[in-house]
Amino acid sequence: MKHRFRSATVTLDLAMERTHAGWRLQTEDGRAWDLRAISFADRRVRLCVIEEDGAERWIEMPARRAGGSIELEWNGMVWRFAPAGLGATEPSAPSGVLTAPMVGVVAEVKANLGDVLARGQAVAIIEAMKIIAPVNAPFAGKVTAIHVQEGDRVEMGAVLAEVEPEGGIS
Amino acid sequence: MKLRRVAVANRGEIALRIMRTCREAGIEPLALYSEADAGAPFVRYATAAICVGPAPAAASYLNVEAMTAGAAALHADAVHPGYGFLSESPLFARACDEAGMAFIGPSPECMDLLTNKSAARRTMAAAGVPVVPGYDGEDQSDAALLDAARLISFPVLIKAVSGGGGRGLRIAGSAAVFLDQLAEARREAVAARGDSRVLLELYLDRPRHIEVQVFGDTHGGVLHLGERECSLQRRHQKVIEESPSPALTANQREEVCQTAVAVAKASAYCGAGTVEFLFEPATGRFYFLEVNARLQVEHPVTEMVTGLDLVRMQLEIAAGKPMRWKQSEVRWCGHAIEARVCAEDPETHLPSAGEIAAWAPPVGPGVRCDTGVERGSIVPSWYDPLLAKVICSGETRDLAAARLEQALLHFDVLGIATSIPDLLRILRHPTFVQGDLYTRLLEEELDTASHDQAPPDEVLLALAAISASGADVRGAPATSPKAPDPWREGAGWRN
Repeated sequence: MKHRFRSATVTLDLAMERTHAGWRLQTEDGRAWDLRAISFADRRVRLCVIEEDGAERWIEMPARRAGGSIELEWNGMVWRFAPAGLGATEPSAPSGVLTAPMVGVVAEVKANLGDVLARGQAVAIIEAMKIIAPVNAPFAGKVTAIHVQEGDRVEMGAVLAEVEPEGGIS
Repeated sequence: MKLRRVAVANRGEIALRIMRTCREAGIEPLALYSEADAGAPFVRYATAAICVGPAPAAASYLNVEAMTAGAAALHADAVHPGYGFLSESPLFARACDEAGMAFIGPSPECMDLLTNKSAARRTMAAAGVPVVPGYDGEDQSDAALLDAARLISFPVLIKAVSGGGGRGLRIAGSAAVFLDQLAEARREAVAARGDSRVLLELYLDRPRHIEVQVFGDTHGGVLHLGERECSLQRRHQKVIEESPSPALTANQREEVCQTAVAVAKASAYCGAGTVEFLFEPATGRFYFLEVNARLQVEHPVTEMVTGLDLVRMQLEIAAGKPMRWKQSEVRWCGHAIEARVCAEDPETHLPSAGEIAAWAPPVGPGVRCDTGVERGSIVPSWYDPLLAKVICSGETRDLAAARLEQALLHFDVLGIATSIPDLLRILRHPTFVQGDLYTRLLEEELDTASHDQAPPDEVLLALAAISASGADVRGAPATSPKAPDPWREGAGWRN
């Protein structure tokens, strides 16, 4: 059985095969492991790797399924993977739709509708927990919409403003 | 005066930590909370609690009137302000006083002096305490400040007079960029505290941040509990703190601690305070920075090496008792290091808010974890991103660091990103291991390196295990080519 997973930065292809004792995992680059005693319950995943000399090595970490993707934490790093085709997107060219980089409050709207901005010029400032994050124009262009006001609370990814490249969209 | 009911004018881990000591001392802890913290662990731990206002701090935790009224409504006879929020507000201290409640901290007059950084520097310079070359004049015109900066010599640090938490701080590398940096510092200072005045200081070479814990009581007693080194900072926020400092000789330690005691005496200090210094290893010189007139976030490292409970000492001083210990009775043992675990992306350091889906703080010999959250807590974006402080101690610095590394490796969190990977990178960095710290280490040596984005083998194995266990849960033979897609919603997964 083959599985493809995507995170924000990598794509993984894993092949799992039943063996008499458990499972065999193979990766695209030809590496393989023998696994058994797999369990996934109560937000933990637990498994046992059988080394070549027969020794057991147990691996255990917090894990859960959330909104169609899988979240895992190993050594403090939280990884989020979506099975390919279910919500993972390819990186694309910079968009003129400017979104909030984090949950917070709009501390300042620095541009007006119709303003012509230079690339990198601040459009809005988002503030949360003592941190100030400027949201800048990704390219030189004209402000075609502003969706927030100072003091608005915004979720991560909320659309703040729209900028159209100079000379319109080609 | 006997304290019976103490209101904690704070939230999160520090509220819980203060309340624990209250209960140990037979005092009833009272919670004052915002709407965002309804049902939070510190609210449930209190013997009585009251909602003081909506989530934004300005309407609740920073609202002097609401906090004072809340504490009075709960019949508090004293108020502990914790750190941050109103902890260094002379206004709040006076309001508590007028409402007949003791403010657990220095007197309002003492705070007036110390929270104004210019006034504090002048007082200390007059008392013979060395300060960093700088300008704290009344003339705040662009021209006067630029002249002063040239006199100090570049690079120059621009600091808001009523600053704190890194707000209103800028570094000007040359006269050419000075006025731009000045404008930005003023803008932040106005936004944070409504005060545009700034002061200037010489920017030192690889300075280390050394601070000394002091206590003063109402009977004129003054005590120091040794130093902490907090050189690991990012955007002027401390990240890892330790005690003792690996940099100081016995003579230097004695010098800085005695200077701190002199500072406390010069300001007639009462309660817990921290005297902060910059230390330039090349010259062996200490420069007074400021006094933090409150309990510090990093106070547990001092507790771990002295065995004392600093909150207990605060409560006793507020009750008018003399300190139990003489300076010669204070003993230090081993080494302690604290790491601040924050809700933030470990790469970008931007805050991450959300629900904590799994949460298991570390335990073990020499491991302490102070936290105010639990599984199911929503981390709000309104407040400081601190989730937990992990403090580890051992006979040596190496042992304390090894314990801290293991504790962080085995700290289970899901649902939000945390700074744990960043903390682990710092602990493993050769400059940290050698103890050769300086205040710009993170920005100059760590944050410039790019990190491996490939998931470790353990993560691949766990992903494979989850897909295999998914097939088993449904009872379908996993090798069947017709096995339904385990990723489809409602495939009968257990979470």
